[in-house]
Amino acid sequence: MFDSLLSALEAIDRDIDASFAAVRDDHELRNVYARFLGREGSLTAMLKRMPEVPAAERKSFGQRVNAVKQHVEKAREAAEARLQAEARQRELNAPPLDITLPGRRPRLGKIHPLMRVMHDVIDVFTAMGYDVAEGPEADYAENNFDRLGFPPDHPAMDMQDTFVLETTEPARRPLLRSHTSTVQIREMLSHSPPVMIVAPGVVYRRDDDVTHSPMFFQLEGLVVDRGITMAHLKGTLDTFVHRLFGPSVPTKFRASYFPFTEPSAEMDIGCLICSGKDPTCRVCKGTGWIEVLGCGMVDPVVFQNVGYDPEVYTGFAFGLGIDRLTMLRYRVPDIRLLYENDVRFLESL
Amino acid sequence: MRISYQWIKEILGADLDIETLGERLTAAGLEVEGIERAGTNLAPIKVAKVLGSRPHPSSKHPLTLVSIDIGTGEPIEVVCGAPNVPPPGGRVIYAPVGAQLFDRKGQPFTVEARTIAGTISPGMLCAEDELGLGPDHSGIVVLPDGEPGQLLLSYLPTLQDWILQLNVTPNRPDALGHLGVAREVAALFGLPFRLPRPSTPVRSVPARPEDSFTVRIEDPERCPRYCAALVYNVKVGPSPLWLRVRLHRLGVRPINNVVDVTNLVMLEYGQPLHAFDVNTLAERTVVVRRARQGETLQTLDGVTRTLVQDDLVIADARHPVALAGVMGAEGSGIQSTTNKVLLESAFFEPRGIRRTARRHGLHTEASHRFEREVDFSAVPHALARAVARLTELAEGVAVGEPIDQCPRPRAPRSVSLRYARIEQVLGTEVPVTLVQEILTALGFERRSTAHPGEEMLLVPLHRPDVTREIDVIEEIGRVFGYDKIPGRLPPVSGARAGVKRDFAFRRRVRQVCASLGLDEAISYAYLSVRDLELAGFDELPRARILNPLSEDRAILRPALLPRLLGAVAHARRHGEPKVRLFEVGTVFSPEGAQEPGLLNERTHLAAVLSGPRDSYLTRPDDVDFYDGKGFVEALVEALCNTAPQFHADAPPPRWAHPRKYAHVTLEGMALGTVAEIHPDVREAMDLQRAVVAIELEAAPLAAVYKTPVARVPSRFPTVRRDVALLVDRSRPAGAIAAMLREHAGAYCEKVELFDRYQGPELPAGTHSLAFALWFRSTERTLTDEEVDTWVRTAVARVTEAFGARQR
Repeated sequence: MFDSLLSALEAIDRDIDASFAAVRDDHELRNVYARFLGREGSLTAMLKRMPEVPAAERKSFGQRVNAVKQHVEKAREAAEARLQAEARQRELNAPPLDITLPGRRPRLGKIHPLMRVMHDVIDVFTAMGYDVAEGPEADYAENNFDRLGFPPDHPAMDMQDTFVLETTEPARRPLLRSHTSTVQIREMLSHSPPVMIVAPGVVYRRDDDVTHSPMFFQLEGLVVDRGITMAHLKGTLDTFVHRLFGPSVPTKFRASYFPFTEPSAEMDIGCLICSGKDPTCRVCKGTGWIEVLGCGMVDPVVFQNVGYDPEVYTGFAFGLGIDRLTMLRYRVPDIRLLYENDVRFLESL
Repeated sequence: MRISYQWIKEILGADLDIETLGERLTAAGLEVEGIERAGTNLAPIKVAKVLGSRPHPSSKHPLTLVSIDIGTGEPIEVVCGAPNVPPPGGRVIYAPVGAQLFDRKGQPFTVEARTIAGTISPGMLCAEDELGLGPDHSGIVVLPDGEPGQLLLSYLPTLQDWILQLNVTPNRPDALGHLGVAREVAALFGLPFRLPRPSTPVRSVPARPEDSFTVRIEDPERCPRYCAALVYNVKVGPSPLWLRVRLHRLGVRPINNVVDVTNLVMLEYGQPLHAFDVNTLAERTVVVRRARQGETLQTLDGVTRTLVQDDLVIADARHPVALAGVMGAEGSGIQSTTNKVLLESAFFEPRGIRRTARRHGLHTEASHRFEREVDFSAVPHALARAVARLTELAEGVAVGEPIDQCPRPRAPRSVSLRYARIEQVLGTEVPVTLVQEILTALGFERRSTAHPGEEMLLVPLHRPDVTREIDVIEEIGRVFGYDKIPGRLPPVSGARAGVKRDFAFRRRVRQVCASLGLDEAISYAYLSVRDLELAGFDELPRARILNPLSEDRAILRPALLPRLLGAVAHARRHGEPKVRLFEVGTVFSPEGAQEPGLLNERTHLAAVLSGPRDSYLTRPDDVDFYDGKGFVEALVEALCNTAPQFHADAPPPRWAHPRKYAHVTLEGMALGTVAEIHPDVREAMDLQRAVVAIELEAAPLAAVYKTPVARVPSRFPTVRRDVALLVDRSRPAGAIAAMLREHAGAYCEKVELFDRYQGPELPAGTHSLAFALWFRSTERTLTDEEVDTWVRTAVARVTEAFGARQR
C-alpha cells in the first residue's frame, strides 16, 4: 500500500520535467501546473492521502512530497522563464514598425517673429547693462513732439503723420505715439542722470503700403551721463550689430536729421542677404547696404526740456525698427503679413 | 530732389567720379537714393540738314518724304509723319537704323529700316519724346544750328548726364537748388566754390514814368522781403532744347520760356519765382496781404479756394492773384500773348506757408521750399538771374531797376563755438585747421573772441538750421566724416529704468502660451464699430481716433478677441480648420485713464482655439469649452503657481455661449472669461465651427506669483482607491471631488475624476463619475483598513450631500 503510494509519487516526480518542457504558452503552463498542484492535481492528491502513510514513514514521506513539490515549482519557474524568453525572441524577430507612419507630435506653439526679434535685440542690450523702460501707447503731443524739439508747423512733422485721439482734454493733444522716443522724455522726467535704457513698443503712423504699416514696433535706446560721446554711440551700435548678426557684418554711419538728436546719423549694415556681392539683390537694391536705424547725440534742447543740464550731461539715443529687422531675418516680402495673423504664415516661421 | 551732375560740374568747373560723389554726399547727410544715367541712347543720333521734302506719293496718311544731309555727302530720304518739317536748310535730328528710341508709352524700341507705305525709310527724324528728352510729341525737334552729320552729343554734350536722386531732409533747404548742392560738394571735396557773379540783362532800358510799379507789403512778418522786376517785350514761346531737357530730367514739365526760366532759376538757387502778366495786374500794383475771411481764389489747378485770414496772398489793387508762396491764380499767369512780365522773388515766413499749404491740401515745388526757408540773402540774386535769363531766352528787355522791399532785414546769425566742445561731443579730436577749412567751405565767417579756444561764427543765411553751437559741431562732424569717429563702449552706469510697465511679464506669457502649443498673433490695434458689434463686444466703452486712415479703423480695441476672431474667420476662408492663437497686447478705454486726457491702457491676454484636437490616425473631436478651461488652468499655474477659480455667477458677455462659459478669478480678483463663442457671433462672423475663446486681464496674473516650495518625495507607498458614484448630471462634479478631498482625511493627497459614463442602463438624467483617491503618508506605510475607513467616510458625506449612490 505505502509502496504503491511511494511509487506513484516517484512517477509524478519523473513526469514533471517533460510536462513543463512541453508547455507552449501561459495557458498551458497554468494547466500543467494545475495538473500537479491544482485542487485536483496529482501532488495535491498525494498530500490528501497523508493519513494513509504509516506514522513511522510519515515524516520522510512528507519530506519527499515537499521535495517533489519544490521540483514542480522550480520546473514552473523555468518554464515561465523559457516562455518569456521565447516571447521576447518572437517580439524582437517580428516585422519592424512602419516608421513612415506619422509621429505623434505635441503641438509646437510659436512666439510671433516680431517678438522673437524684439527679445533677441533686448537681450543684447540688457547684456550690455541696459534696463527696459516702457511708456504708454497714447501720449501727449508734448512728449511725442514738443519736448523732443520738433518745431511747430515745421516740415519735420511730415516725417511722422500721427493719429490724433478723441479726448475730453483737447488742449493736451493726446495722440498715438509715432515713435518710442516719447519714452526718452518720460524716462528723463522720472529721474536724474545717469540713464541707460532700451524702450520697446508699438508705434503708430498714418501710412499704409508694402513697406509702411500704420502700426509697427520700435526699440528706443537712451544713454545719458557725463562724458558720453558719439564714439560711445558708434561703439554701442557696432557691438549690437556684431552680436545680433555676427562679427563679419559691417556697419556704416552717415549724417541724417532728426529734430531730437544733434548730430544725427543713420546706420546702415552690410546686406544680410547678398553681403554686397549681388548687384541685382532686391533687399539692398544692389548697394550692399541696408538702412536699419536712426541715432544721434541727444539734442541739448531735449535736455533743457526735461531739466537736465546740457553743459554737464551728454547722451546718445537710437531708434530701431523691429519690423524691418524681422522682414530681413525671415525674408518677409510685405509688412502687412506680419499683422494679418494668417495661421499658415505664423506656422511657417 | 533731382540733381544734374552736368550742372554741378558747370558750377564747380571740376570733374568728379560719380560713384564717389554719391557716396560722399550720402555720408554727409544728403542721401543719394539713386543715380540714373541719362542720354545713354543718344550716341548714334546725329544732326541732319533738310535738303528738301515732298509728299509721300502713295500714302493715305499725311506723310512726307524728307531728303536730308547727314554729312556723308550722299543725301538720304526718310519718311516723316510730323507736320513741322522745316524748309531746306533747317536742322533736324536724325536717328539711324539701330538707334534706341522711345515710343509714346515711354517703352524703348530699336529703329529699323522699315517699309512705310511702300517706301523704305533708312532711319527717322525724331521728336523730343522719342529721344527721351522731353514730353513733346507735337512735331520733330528743329534745331537752330549744327553741322550736318554732327553727333548730337557733340552738338550738346550736356545731354549725357547723371541724375542724382537726393533725399533732402527737412533741415537742408540749401540742398533744394543746384548751387547749394554744389557748395556742399565743394566742401566735401575741398574744391573752391563761389556764387555766380550777379547776372546782367542782355537788354535793358531805364524805366519811364508810365512804367512805375507799386509793391506794398502789408504783413512784413509773413513777408519780410519782396523783390520784383519788370521785363517787357517778351516773346512767349518754347525754350531751347537744352533748357527743356534739363527741366524734364529734373522732373519739371517744360511749359514756355518764361515759366521755364522761373523754374530753372528755382532749381539753381532754390528760390521759387513767380511770373505775372503785368497787363492783368490792376493798377500796376502788387499787395502782399492776408486774405480776407471768405475771399475766394481760383488757383492754377482749377480749384476755387475759399481763403481764411491766416492765408497770405499776393493781390493786385482789387483781387488776390496768387496764394503767396504756394500757387498762382488762374488768369494772372503767363499767356502766349503776354509781353510784359512782372517777376516775383520773395521770402515768405515758413510756418505760415506750411499752414496755408496744408490747409488747402497743396504741396508745390514753391511751398516745399518756402516752408523749409529760402536763402534770405539770395532773394534778389535769383531775381536778377531770372531777369537776365528772360532777356537771353525770350527776347525780353529789362525795365528799370528791380524793386527790393525789405521791411525786416536779416543779418547772419552769430553762434559761438568752443573748440574743446567738438571732442566732447564727437568723441574724437578734429584738427583745428581742418575745422576751420570745413567752416569756411560751408560759408561760415569766423570772428575771434576774447575767450581763448572760442570763436564767433556768422552763419550764412542759406543755413537756417544752424542756430547753436551743437549745430555747428554737427556740420564739422558730418563733413569730417562719421566713419573717422572711433567706436567705444560707454561705461555701464547700472541705472535702473524709471518708467516701467510689464515687458518682462508679457515675455513670460508668450513663452508659456507657446509652450502650451499656441501661436502668437499680433493684430492691428484699431478696428471699426461694426467689427465690435459682429464679435459681440459692443458693450465696452470705446477710444476713438479722430483722423483714422479709414472709418473702419477708427476705434482702438477695447479687447483683443474681436481681431483674433477675425483671424479665425480668415483661416476658415482659406480652408484652415485648426486655429490655436494667442495674443498679448494693450487694450484701450477712454475711462479710467491714469493721466488726464490719455487712455486707460491695460495689457490683455487672449486666445482662440478652434478645430480638431490633436489625435492619432483617428477622426478627432473639435475642441470645446474644457480645452479652454484647461488652457487657463495650465497658464495660470505656469504664471502664478496657483489655481484660478471658475464660476458662472455673473451673466455671460454677449460674445459667450450662455451655457458654455465661465468667469475666471484669481485670489478673488476678476481675470476674465473663458467660453465657447455664441452661435449668433459664430454665424455673423462666419466662423463655421465652434471656437473657444479666452480674454484675460494681465495685471492680476502679473501680481500673483507664489514661489513654489520644494516637496520632499515620500519614501512610503501610495494607496489608491477608486470610487464610482451614480449622481444626477446637474450636480457639479468639481464640488463632489472637492468634498471627497475634504473628508478623506489628512493623508489624502489628491482626488482625480478619471472617468465619466452616461449610458442607457443608468437612470435618466444621471451619470457615473469615477474618482481615484490617492493616499500617502511621509512617516509610515498606511494600512488598507485605515484607508478604507477614510474612503467610506468621504463617500458617505458625498452620497448624503449630492444624492449620489456608490456603484
